Amino acid sequence: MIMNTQQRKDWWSIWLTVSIILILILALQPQVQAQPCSLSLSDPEQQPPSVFVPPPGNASSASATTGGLRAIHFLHGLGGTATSWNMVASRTAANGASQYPARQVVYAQPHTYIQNGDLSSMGLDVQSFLNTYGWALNQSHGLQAQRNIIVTHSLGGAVALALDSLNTLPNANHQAGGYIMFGTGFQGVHAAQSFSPYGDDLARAFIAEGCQVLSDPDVWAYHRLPNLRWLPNLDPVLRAISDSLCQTTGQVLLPFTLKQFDRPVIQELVPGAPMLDALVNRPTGGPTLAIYGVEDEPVFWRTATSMYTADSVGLALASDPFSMDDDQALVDWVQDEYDRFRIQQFALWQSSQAAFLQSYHLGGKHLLGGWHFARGLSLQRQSAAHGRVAQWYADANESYKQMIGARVITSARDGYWCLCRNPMSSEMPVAITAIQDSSDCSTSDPDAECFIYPRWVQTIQEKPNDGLVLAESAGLYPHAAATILMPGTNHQQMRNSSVTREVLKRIFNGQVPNGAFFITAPQ
Amino acid sequence: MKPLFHLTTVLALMSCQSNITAPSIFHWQAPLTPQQQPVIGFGPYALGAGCLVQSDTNEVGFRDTDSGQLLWQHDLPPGWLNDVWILEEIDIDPTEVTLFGPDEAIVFNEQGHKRHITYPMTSNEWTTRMGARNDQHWLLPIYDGPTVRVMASDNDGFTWDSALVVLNDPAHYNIIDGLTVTDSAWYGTRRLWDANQQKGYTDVIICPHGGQASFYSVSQDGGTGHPVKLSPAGITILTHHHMVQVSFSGNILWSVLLSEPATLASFELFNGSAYLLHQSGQLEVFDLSNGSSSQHHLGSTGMIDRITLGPNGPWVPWGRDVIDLAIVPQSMKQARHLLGTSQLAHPIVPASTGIVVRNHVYVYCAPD
Repeated sequence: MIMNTQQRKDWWSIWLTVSIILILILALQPQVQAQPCSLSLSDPEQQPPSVFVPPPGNASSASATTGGLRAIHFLHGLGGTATSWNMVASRTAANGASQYPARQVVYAQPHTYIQNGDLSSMGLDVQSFLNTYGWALNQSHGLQAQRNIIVTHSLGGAVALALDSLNTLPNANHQAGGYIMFGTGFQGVHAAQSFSPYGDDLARAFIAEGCQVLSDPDVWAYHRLPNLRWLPNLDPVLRAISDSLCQTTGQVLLPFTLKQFDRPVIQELVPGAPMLDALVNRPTGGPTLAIYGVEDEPVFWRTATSMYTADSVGLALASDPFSMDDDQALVDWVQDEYDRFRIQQFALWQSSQAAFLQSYHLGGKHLLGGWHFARGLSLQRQSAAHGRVAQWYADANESYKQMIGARVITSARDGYWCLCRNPMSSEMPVAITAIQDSSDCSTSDPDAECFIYPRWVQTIQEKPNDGLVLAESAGLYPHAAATILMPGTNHQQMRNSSVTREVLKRIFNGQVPNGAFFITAPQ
Repeated sequence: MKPLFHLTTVLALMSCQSNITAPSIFHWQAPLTPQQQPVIGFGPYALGAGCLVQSDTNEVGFRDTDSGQLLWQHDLPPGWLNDVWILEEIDIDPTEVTLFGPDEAIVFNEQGHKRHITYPMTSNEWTTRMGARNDQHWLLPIYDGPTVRVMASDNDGFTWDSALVVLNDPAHYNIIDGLTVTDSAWYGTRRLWDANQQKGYTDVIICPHGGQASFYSVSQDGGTGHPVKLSPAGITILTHHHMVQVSFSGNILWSVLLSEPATLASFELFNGSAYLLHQSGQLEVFDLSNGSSSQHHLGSTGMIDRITLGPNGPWVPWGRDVIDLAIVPQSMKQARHLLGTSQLAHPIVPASTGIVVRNHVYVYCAPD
C-alpha cells in the first residue's frame, strides 16, 4: 500500500500518540496499582492501640502559696457573653500569646449571667455557677478557692462586688480571693442616665440629629435631582438613599447599641444609685485592682471605631488577643468627611453668589434671571446643609462627651457688670467694667448714670475618660489594693489591647502594688 | 576578571550596609527585620559604644550608635523576641547586657561574645525574671509555691547558693524583687500581702555577701517592686504611697508621702535628686538629702517602663517624644524632644549625636 504524504503524517501522529500512552501506562503502573479506584471492603490492618496512662494527681496543699496553680473566672460587661474574655482567658491558661506568657491557671466563666435583673440577682447567678462548676473545678485540680481570681470588665466589676457581698451570708463559700476589675464605674456611669430611654434618652436624640443632617436631601441628592427634589415623594431613589445613609450612620454611630441601655440594671449604675454605693463602700474580701482607661481625643470617634470594629476583629483576636490597638479609622474618616463638607459648603456658597450676580445682571423680570435667582437660593440652601453636616462632625465628639459626663459646662455668678453712660458726652458714651460688689459701681463723671447687671461666667471642665466611663469613677474604688491607668485605651479596647497585655503581664508577675497575691507562675 | 572583581566589591560593600538608610531627619535608620514588617521588637539597650537591638526575626544585633552599622548579631531561643521585656528582665551595665529568660540568662558583651547562664531551678520552681547582676555577682528570685528564695552566685553564675529563704505563712503571700547588687552587698524588697488583714507591707532587705539578710520595715503598703536605687546618700525605695530613704544600716532617713499612689511608676536618681514619674504624667522631684519635693506635670498620660540616664539627666519616652525630666521643672517645652511619628518603645539609648529610639518597624538615631 502506497501512502501519500498526508497519510504518512497521520499514521506517524497516531503511532506517536499510542506510543506515548503506552509509555505513560507502563511508567505509572506502580502508582496506579497503589491507588485503588474504590474503597477496599476488607478490614484495614489493625494497629496495636496506644495506651495512655494518666499521671498521678498532684493536689496542692491548703496553705498560702505564691504563684502556684489557680483558677481565674472572667466576667463580661453589659450585653456581653463569655466570648468577650475567652481569647484572653484561653491564652492565659495555655499557649500564651505574643509578649504574653501562659500561666499556671485554669479558667471557667459562666457563658453569661442574668442581665435582665438587678445587681444582686446577677451576683447570685454568678455565685450559683461558682458554687457548682467552680467548686468542681477546684476539687478536680486541688485548688484553694481563696487563691482564685475574678477578672471583670465594666458591669462585670459591679457584679463581682455583688458576688463578694454574698460572702457575708452564713456558710457562704468564698470562690475567689482577689479581683482585677477593668473599667468598672465604681462612682456611677453618667451614660447610664443620659443614654437610657428611662433616663435622659439623649443617645437617641444624638443619633437622630446626626441622621437628620446627614440624610438631608440637600446634602445627598443635590447633584442628582437639583431642581425637582422639592416635590414630595417624587423619587423613591432619593428616599432610599436618605434611608440607607441614616441606617448606616446609625449603625456606625449608635453608641454601644442603645438596646443595652434599656435594661433594668442600668438604673443601678447611675451616679449615686444606692445599691452601687453600698457595694463600693464595703471592702471586698480580697485585694482588688481597679484598672481604668484614659482615651485620647477625639474619644467618641476612637471609641466608636473600637465598637464598630469589635465584631470584625475576631480572626485577629484569635491570632493575638491583644491586637485591638488601632482606633484611628473613624478619626481619619471623620476628618476627611469634615474637610469634604466644608469645601463643598464653600464651593456651593460661591456658586450661589455667582447665580445671584447673574440674576442681578439679567434683571428680575428676565426669565433666565429668575431661573438664576431660584438656582442661587437652591445653592444657598445646599451650602447651609453641607455646613450643618460639617458642624455635626465637628461637634459630635463634644456632644457625646457631655452625655458621658466628660465635658461639663457650668455657668456661675461672678460679680456684676457696671455700665455707666453719659448721654451728653462726646467721648465713648458707655463704660463697662467688671466688679465684685454692686456698691463698687460708680464713676467720676457727675453727669453719668450707672447700671449694674449680674455677670455670669461659663466654665467648661473636661474630664479624662475611656469613652464611656469617667476616670474619676473607674479609678476610684476606695478599697483598691492598687489603681492602674491604661493610657490611650477606650472602654472597648481595654480587654484586648497591647496595654492590656502589658498590664496583665505585670500583674501576674507581681510587679504592681500589693502584687504578692496576684503573682502567678508561668508555664 | 577585573570588572567582575570591581562589581563583586561594590556588591559586597552594599551588602555590608545592612539596610541602613539615612533620611534627612534622622542620623541613621535601620529596620528591625529585613522584611521591614512590624514586630514586637527588642531594645535598644546601651552596650559599650553601641546598642543591642533586634536585627532579624529571631536575632538581636549590636549596632554602632553613631553610624547604625550592624557589627554582629546572634539568634535567641525561640519565643524570646515575642516577649515584652520589662523592668529588671534586662540588666544593663557598661560592658554587658544580660537577658533574664524563663529558665536561663544570656549575656552579651560588646565584642559579640554570648554566654548562657543556667538557673539553679528544679522542675517545680520558677522565677519572675526580676534578677540583678553586677559583674560576677548574680541574684535571682525563685518561687516554688510555699517558699520564695533568693539564689546568689559570686562566680558569674557558675555555682549558686541560697542567699535567703522566705516561707509563706498561712494567709501570707511574699514576693521578693527590687533587687540590686554591688561588690559588697545586695539589696531588695520583701513585699507581703496579709490575706487576713487584707493589707500589704514592704521591707527593705540588706544583705552583705556571705552574711545574714536583715529586714527593715519601710512602709505599711504593698510596695511597687521597683528596683531600689543606691547613692552615697543611702538606699532610695519607692513604695505604693511613699518615697523612702534608708541608710545603709537600715534606718529610715526620711519618708515622704507621694502626691499620688505609685502604680506602674518609675524613678531614677540624678545629681542628688530622685525623679519619680507617674503614669498620669505627674513628675515628683525629691531632694535626696532631706526629701523635700516639688511637683510638675508632663500634660498627658503614658506607660512607663524604665527611665534612662542621658547625658544631662533622666530621659523617658513619652508617646512620640522623649522627655528630659531634669529640664521639666524649668521648661516643659525645652524638655520635649520630638523624635518620631509613631509610639516609641520604652528602651532608649543616648548617643553622641542624638538618641537611639525604636518603633515597631525601625530603630533610628534622632537628633537630640
